[in-house]
Amino acid sequence: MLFNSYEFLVFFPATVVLYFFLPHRMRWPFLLLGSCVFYMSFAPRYILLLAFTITVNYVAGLLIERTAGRMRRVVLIAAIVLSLGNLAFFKYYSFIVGSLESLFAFVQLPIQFPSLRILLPIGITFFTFQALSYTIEVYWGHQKAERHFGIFALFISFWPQLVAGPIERPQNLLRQFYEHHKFEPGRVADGLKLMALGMFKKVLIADSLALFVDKVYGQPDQFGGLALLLGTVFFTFQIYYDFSGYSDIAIGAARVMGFSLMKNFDAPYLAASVTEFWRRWLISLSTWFRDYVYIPLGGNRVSKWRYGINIMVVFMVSGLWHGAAWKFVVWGALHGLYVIIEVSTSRLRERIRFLLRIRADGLLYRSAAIVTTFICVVLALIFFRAESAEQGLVILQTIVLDLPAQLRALSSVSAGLPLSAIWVAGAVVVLAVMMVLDHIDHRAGLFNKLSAWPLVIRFTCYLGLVYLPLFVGEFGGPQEFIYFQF
Amino acid sequence: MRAEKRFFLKLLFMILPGLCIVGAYFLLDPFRVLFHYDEVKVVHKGLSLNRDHTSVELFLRQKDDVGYDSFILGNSRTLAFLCADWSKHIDSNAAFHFDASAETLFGIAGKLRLIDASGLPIRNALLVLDRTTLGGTTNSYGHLYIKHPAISEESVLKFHWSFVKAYLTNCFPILCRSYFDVTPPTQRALFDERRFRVDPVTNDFYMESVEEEIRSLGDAYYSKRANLFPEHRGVPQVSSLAIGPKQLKLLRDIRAIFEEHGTSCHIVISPLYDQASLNPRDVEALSSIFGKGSVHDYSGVNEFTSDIRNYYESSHYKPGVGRAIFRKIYGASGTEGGV
Repeated sequence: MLFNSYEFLVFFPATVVLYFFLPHRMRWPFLLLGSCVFYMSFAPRYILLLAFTITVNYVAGLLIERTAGRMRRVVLIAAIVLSLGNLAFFKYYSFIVGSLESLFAFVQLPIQFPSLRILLPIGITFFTFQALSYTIEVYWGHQKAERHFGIFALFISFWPQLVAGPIERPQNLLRQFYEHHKFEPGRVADGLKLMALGMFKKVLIADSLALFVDKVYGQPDQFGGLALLLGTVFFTFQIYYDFSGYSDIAIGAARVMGFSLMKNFDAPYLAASVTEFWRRWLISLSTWFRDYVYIPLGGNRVSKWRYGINIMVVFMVSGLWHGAAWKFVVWGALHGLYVIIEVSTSRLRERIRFLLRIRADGLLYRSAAIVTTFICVVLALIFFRAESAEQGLVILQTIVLDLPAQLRALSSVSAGLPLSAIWVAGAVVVLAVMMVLDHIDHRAGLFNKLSAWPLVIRFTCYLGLVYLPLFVGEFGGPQEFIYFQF
Repeated sequence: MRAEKRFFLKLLFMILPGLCIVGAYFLLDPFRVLFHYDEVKVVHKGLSLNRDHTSVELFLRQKDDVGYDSFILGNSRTLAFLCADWSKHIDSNAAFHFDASAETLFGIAGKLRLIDASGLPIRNALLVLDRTTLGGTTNSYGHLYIKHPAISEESVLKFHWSFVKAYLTNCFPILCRSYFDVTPPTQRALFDERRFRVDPVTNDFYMESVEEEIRSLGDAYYSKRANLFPEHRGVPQVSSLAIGPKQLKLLRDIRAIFEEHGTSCHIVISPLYDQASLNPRDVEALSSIFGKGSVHDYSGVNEFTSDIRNYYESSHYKPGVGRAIFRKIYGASGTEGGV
């Protein structure tokens, strides 16, 4: 069931009430049962895949701890191959087969692979990565193997973060299932506020922006440069509020029950560099790639060329994680290129700042850096949202060539937009306000700041967070979370 | 304890508006599914009602008093076939218009099972079908289309939950309309402002406001409403196959009920404006089950579908078409069809 559904509004309070009424020893089986119910509400048969991933990595963890030498490595590789193989089949079979067939066709080899209609199991990339994180940490000796199968199964399938993260580390989450969580009003209230904020971001902001974005990207050849640029900018915010909204709900729901999940977003569009962006965007995934791909490849402690290759590999694989299509690889590669350019020009930029006596933390410089980073992110997202890499190129070309002429004829520009100019202006104002709130949240915590305000204002804000999505947004409507497809 | 008490008080304060909203649903019953009503409507305060539910409720309320023995079944396109017109061709004055919005074979079979279980005879049956009706073999989704539990034999809770969800999703405009008679400008599409009339005995329904508009505008109605009539492609279209194993089973179940009752049954394939012919294999399947003389295919390009004046819009044709089809099926004195 989706978080933004009425079924969840019944599931969540029922789960929480029962959770706190149960004795501690009965809580983990109850949560595990709840997680199975939650996952099976999407597609019941795919619980078997979840069970497969859980079993493989549970056994691998125990074997790694009990064996020594080369055998440990063999078990680790087997666990990785089985887990990623499972993921590759369900998510990448059509992509791999399609790419191979195109390649064979190019070299005039008439080889065809069987075409299979495979339904992507929801959350498979998230729980696979979480399971692998556990096995690798056990291998590295950073985590003791979990002997309790039920607790381990719960660690992989914990329903708040099962289908779209945050991708948790065993050192953080596993031990929490052994802790007794009491009902603490303050913590529960914090969790509920975060859930309300997440719902607001998803239902009111992200789903509203989708009205514009879907129209423009649904038929991009019907729109000019300005509509395409606005569509891309709105998509930039749509994907952010969609995913950060989901993460807020997941983290909030877990917090209500006493569990602490990692922060997944930290005002990423206020980053002053692409490197900083990736420290603030989908933090659980970017740190996963950093720790389990980038650093094992050597990180930046290698030659310049090897470093560049490492960066490109990590970002292109990250792109592929997002989707089985070349457009995602292009998106990832662009970010890799951005990082390489940033790193290779960092000394030059430092020198220029020194000569011009500009401080890196000065308001003007930082603002320019934030805007530049945002533009880079927006441009890359063209490929993320387009139907294909080729369509992304066409859209980019249209924006670059068409926009100047459209801006010169600003009075007639609203005629080419899928929604009214008033709607667009309203969206821009709302997004500006949301960015300010993001900044406040980054600096001091939004709800911490709000708690200093008078009671009437605080409760008006909370009521707005809870009921505006219901009244104005499409709560319970058809809009799934974007990252569910990953 | 004080902290917990304060927390629950604040929580109660926060959920109070939500409780009021949910409470208003039970007070207003905006979709008229919670309580029984004497008046049968198609639309209530602008909100479309579940036609399957209103039809079933009317049938259950009146079946013993009226003693219905003849039934028109199908989707909203059955509005062209009035019991009042049908009765002239069949030997019955107790016909019932047992239709539903976006009706399916699942719904039709369920209704016939209900009639059979009620002990009423099924002397005459008119099934008005098209490709979409033939396709559906399971319960429908959405508050406008989900079948009455007496038809679906599924959970009452599931039935009512679909209405609660529909209400909660649109509670703001519904409450504005119900309490203040105001329609928020951005939510106008939610409400159907047309006027309908439903016969309290036969359940025939009439598009009153549309009929009035056509009477006053004449042929100018069609130029005014040109957006409701897509261009004909000019190339003959044949629909994809609709009848598969599940449909065959339901059709045989329907035939079994007709055989048990000795029903005089006729099947009309709707003359839809899109001029797409029902797949010949589907027509053949229907004929093999119900008899060739019982299946009357008016889909495709013909005298009905070629004249725009036979339609209210591209989905619904007028009672005049229904009367003409009755004459063709039954002739001057009426003909017997059967299984």
